[in-house]
Amino acid sequence: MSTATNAPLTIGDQAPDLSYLSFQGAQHHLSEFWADSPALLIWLRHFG
Amino acid sequence: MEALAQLREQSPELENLGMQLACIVQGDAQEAAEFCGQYQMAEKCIPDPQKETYRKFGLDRATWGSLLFPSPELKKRRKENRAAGFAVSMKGSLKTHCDILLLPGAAIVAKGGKILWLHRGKNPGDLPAAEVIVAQAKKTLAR
Repeated sequence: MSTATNAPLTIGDQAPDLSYLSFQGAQHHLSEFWADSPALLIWLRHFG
Repeated sequence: MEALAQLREQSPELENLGMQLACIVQGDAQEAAEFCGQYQMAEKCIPDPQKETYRKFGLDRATWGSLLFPSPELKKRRKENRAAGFAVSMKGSLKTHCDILLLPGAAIVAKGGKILWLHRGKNPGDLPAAEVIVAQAKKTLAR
């Protein structure tokens, strides 16, 4: 994660990044989603 | 989890807006692929087994009481899910990376990373329907 603050994020702040492994095993960053276009992020509460 | 099915249906609308969709789930890469693959959404799902983004974006955790004694909003969502043939499985709830108390959320992020809109769920049923989120995206991007 690139943001090192405990203050809650608010409108206008820079979205924090996340490094993750895709299911193909490749390293990616969440910021790739907003690098070239706007992005909609959805956090799902439940898992299955 | 009908949210993924709803989002899949709204994908063309999002593409028309030029938006990328990222659905963040709690599992690791394999779990996310298996779960999201059921809805043909594996490519859109981001595994976050350590819940880093949930914390960084300030998503809260529910109380056990809010699950055991659900709000009218959560009851409605569960009823809609069951009617549509979707149900939360106990097996899924007990998976290693699943924190059943984590609340949902949504954000619209501008090209470059500026947060334009942020919704933090206040209770377990508090994730707007996908079409409502898409309407919000249209409104936000039109500003």
